[in-house]
Amino acid sequence: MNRDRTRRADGEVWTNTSLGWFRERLGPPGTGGYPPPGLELRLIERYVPLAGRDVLEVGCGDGRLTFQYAARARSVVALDANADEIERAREMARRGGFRNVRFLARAVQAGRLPGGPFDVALLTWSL
Amino acid sequence: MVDALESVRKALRPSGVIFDLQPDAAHQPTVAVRDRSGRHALGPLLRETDEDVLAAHAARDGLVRAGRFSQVAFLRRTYRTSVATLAAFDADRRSHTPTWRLARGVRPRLLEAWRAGGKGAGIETTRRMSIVVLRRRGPRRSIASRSP
Repeated sequence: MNRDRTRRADGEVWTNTSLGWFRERLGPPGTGGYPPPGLELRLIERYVPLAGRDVLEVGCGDGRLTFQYAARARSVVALDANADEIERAREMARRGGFRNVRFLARAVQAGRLPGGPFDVALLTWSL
Repeated sequence: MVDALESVRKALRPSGVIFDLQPDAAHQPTVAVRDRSGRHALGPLLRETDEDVLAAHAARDGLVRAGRFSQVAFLRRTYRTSVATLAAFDADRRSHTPTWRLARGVRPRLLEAWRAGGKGAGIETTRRMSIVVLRRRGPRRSIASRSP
């Protein structure tokens, strides 16, 4: 797991790696058409805190949202049909030392999912 | 969408929770320029209703009615995104299908505000997202399957 965690003033826990990744890949918060980092998780965690949970994420892309919560989840299985995006996410997970995350290039309907059962499923901007 | 939700349901623990995050199908985005003097609202971006998102909502609602999930919450949140160049703004508009268009008169105002903004100005788009929270429900037992 990541040792270089930081806690922001609003209580969000981030890894230095994921902060750097956002700065490097997405530019300032709120760019790229997606909500600024932290907004989606604040809304989600009003209902279910993700700390210690087994999480399934469908439509993870290159891990934009995944890396915001992975450090505090117990395990994450993150899926996307786009193999290039998944490869980028895997590379980031390797660099960041996220050993509790599995990125899989597949559809959710394509057979039994490894790693379950899950406490929480996130369908992230996927139809 | 129905197949995906059914697959997710099977992989969840009893009482497991799904968060369905989507762009808001009906929201009309707006554009503004932010510079050192503040934020200058310019007008709406015109878009067609996103039929794919509406179809996804309908499929999800059907599963709730069928008793597969209970709906815990429905949230909407507005947020802003920002780009640093006109080219990036137009690329973002064109990334949507159908392309988001600027309302009549907004383009000239955008160009004027952008030029006046100078170095460090950004073009902001206000958008809205929705989050639906669903809780897994157990399979309904039919009367025939109940013990006497």
